[in-house]
Amino acid sequence: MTEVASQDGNPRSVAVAGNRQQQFEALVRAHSSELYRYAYWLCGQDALAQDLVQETFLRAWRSLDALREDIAAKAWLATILRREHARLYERKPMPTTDITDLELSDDAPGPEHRGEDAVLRAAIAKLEPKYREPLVLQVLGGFSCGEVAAQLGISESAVMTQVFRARQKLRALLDGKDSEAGPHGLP
Amino acid sequence: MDCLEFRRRLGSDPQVLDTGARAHMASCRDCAPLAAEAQAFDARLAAALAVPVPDDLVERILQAQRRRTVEPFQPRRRLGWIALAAAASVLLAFGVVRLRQATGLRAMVAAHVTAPDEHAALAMVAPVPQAEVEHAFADRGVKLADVPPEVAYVAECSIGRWRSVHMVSAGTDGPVSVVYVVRDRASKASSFHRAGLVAREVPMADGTLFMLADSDARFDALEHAWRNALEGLPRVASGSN
Repeated sequence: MTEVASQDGNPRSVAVAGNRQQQFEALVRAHSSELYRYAYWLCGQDALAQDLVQETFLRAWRSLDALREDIAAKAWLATILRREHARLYERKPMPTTDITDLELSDDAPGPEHRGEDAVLRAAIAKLEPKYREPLVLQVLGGFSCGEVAAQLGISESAVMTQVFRARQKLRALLDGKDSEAGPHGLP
Repeated sequence: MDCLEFRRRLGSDPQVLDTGARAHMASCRDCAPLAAEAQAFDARLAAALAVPVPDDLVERILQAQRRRTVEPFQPRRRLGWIALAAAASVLLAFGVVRLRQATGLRAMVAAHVTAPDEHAALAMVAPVPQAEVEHAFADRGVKLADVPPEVAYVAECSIGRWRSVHMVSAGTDGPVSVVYVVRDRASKASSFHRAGLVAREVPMADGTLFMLADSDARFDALEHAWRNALEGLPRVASGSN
């Protein structure tokens, strides 16, 4: 049997530490899948994405007391993960071809959709990071344009433009066109 | 709202349309099918982005966290005659045990900093906030007089039965793993080699500072900086002549 070590060893501290542990485990169970997917689309590597998520949660554990509202947890964790990725990226630039060479396993949908999703994933992987990242945050993370803007430190209108263009580019890639002309007739 | 504005909003976020946009969609024959098509495309997009998550991800994260923060519970025992007898035996064997412990600790520190789940720390270069470093030491019961620069990674790690603060000091000559083991002070400073790394252990305050890297070029400067931080007293580095 193990117990969380406390500074003073008194029962109250152990209880507080226990609550903190429970809060942390709930956070991991609630957000690890989404964070992994976000990490994956940031770095394009399964192992690195797992490391990023793990490091994100270990940093979150150390600063857990700073998290006042569970509702803010997702954005808080995504911010930590982005910083961790930036730290790694600063040291070792990822080969830009990595993400397009991924073996994107595709076992979630039925067999009839595998090819379709694989094509779409390849198209997403081809997007420039400035388009891919806000799109991932919006579609996968469920963040509004305003929230994505706050995450990325850019204006809301810039986010709106980027996700608009991201969708345009994806459609163009799927249609085999290089043109940026949108399906809705917008420039 | 006109068609142009509606389609602009639709392209930005098909899932979230405000009242004005919904009213336009309901009244415009041209835009309504576009909205349905855009939302279907986003559903495809969401499915494609949802790459499979490794089954053991949650457990792996929790294990890593427990490794760093949970330590075996050691109940306090009354000092009875058995303990006194044991203490006498321990005192007799102290010299031999201390030597073996020191050797074991060196190997464990080297194994820890080169472990796959710690190795990524060596890639980090951006400085962590000073408060984070101070907090890690405070958790270990150590108050720092200063925080040396270039700490790019900090974590409270348990290495065997030892409690430590594991850091990476980034620098132009390459990263140096710096591990401060609390409440276990080496008898003297010494250099050694482990796991293909050059290493130095230095008694400092109540503990021992380990530095491990490909080269010892920065060891003197780091030893000086950490002695200032832990003891507040500048001294000549043990590797200096």
